[in-house]
Amino acid sequence: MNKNNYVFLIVTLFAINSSAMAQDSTLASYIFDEGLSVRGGIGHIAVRDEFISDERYSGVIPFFGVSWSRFHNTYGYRLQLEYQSTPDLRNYNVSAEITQFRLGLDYLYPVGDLKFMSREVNICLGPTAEFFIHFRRQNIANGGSTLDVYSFASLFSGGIRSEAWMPIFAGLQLHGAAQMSIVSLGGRMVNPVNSSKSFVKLLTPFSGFNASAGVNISYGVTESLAADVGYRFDMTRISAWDFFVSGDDNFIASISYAF
Amino acid sequence: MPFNMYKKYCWIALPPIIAFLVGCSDLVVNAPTHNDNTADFERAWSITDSVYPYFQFKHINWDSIYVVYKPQAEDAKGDQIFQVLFNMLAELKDGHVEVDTKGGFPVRTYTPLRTERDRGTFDPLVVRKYFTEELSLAGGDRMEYGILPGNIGYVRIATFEQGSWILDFDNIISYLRDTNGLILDVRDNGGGSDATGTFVIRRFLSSPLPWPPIYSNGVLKSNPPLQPSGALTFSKPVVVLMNGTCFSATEDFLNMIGQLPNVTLLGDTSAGGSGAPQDFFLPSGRRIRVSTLDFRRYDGRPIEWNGIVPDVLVMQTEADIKSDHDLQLERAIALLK
Repeated sequence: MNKNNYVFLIVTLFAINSSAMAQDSTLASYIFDEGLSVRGGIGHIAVRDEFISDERYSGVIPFFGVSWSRFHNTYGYRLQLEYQSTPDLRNYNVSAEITQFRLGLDYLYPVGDLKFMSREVNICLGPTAEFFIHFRRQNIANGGSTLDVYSFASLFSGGIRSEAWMPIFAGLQLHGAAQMSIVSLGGRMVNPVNSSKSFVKLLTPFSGFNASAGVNISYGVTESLAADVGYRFDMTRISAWDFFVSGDDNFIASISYAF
Repeated sequence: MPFNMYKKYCWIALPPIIAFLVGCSDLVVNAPTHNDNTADFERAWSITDSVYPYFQFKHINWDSIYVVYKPQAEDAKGDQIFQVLFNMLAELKDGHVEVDTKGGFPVRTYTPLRTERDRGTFDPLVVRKYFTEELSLAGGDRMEYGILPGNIGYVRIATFEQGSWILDFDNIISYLRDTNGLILDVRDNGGGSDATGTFVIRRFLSSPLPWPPIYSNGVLKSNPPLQPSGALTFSKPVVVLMNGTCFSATEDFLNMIGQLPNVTLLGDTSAGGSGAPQDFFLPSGRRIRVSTLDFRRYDGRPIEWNGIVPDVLVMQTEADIKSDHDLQLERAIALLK
């Protein structure tokens, strides 16, 4: 996928979520999933890390997450922590261990509503900050040496996030979200033996990019308890050093409890 | 809510299900469109064939290695070639030979047995227990030095990597010039550059020192003798501490400094690897590192596999170090008292 395709994908996701930014807000706190949320799921991840090789590694990866969110008078915020790890990412019969970690903080401001299929859709938009780290250990013989072959990539990003809620009927709603980084401080594994390259750089979306988009169905079991299931796609692309791209599709279930 | 109501709204489950099944990750992370595996194998084999100096010494028939690994390379998909290259080059049993990741992470194909044996048998923190004062650091923390009870100087050189940091060695020698003798500790020094090692040796020379034999493609190289250098020459007794983790340029250092009449090599035999390795790029961008020169001991035998043998053999185990005893250092102190 070339750079234009990435731009098209992200712009489309944002267009879907934020096409009615100028309208009045009717977003109410009951729509925003407040409280503590615990998430679990399963996903499929594909990674190409040219610090190791040009080859594509892929496999199944479990997903765990926890978040805390609150809606105040005029805005909502969400702090989330996510963890993914698998010991068996494969390229034919060569494997690698992958661990990914995300810490994110989102602020969401109601920006308006729109009508979609004769239903009201509530839109929020706001800044987001995310720390992402990807660590990889290559399972390869090492001639009796204790040196592990490993690679890492990290992004500390500031960006923008958009979310939309569409109530279906009492308690049930469809929720979509998309976010992308605008500026990042990137970190990357460099040649440990012979390199003058810095392993930290300031990155634009063209040299280091993080984005995610997802859609889920939420059902309020009680006033305090909500359950939801959904899909989320995450991608990270870094080209300031040896090229790195990872993408993961996740099927996620979560339970939220509002205190 | 009646069942038909659920049916009416079940369409909302479709977007996440469809998205999951489509799998965006496969769209954004592409596999490479070409495969250089066979070309990588051919290049790795031919480079090694043309530069590797120890086929005869190690009784390796490199042509037969080609016959064994060529079919494996042709069958290798993706990064499987990594393992094929690794296994082929591991046949050389050479601690300098590597297959690097594309970004340059070294993957050693072999670790000398004496290095394995002596890993963990040296601990600089145990060395400190023999001193009454803290050791001083120099050379960008690559060297440390001090004076042991009995007025015995001690210098540890942790690496021979290239750089101007070694200039600090002159200051250390100047500081230790009034000691009764010197312990030069190069245990756990995995090598670096011969230029750094010879910088140190020249501070102990009172007359020119001929180089040991070095062969390139079977031809003896001629090097001018090493000349004395430095503001002062340390001519008092010197004990050089060594073990099986001493490798590469450190072995060249041991080979040469061991020729000096006031120097005693003490400890255990070094690893056995001294091949002046060079990096070579393969068509895919991967790199291999292969030995190119045959360094010999002064008795004419290759340093490769044989290592440098100490004048005074003192074996040391991990258990000795864990019980806070550095037997090699203790013996060196006893020799210099």
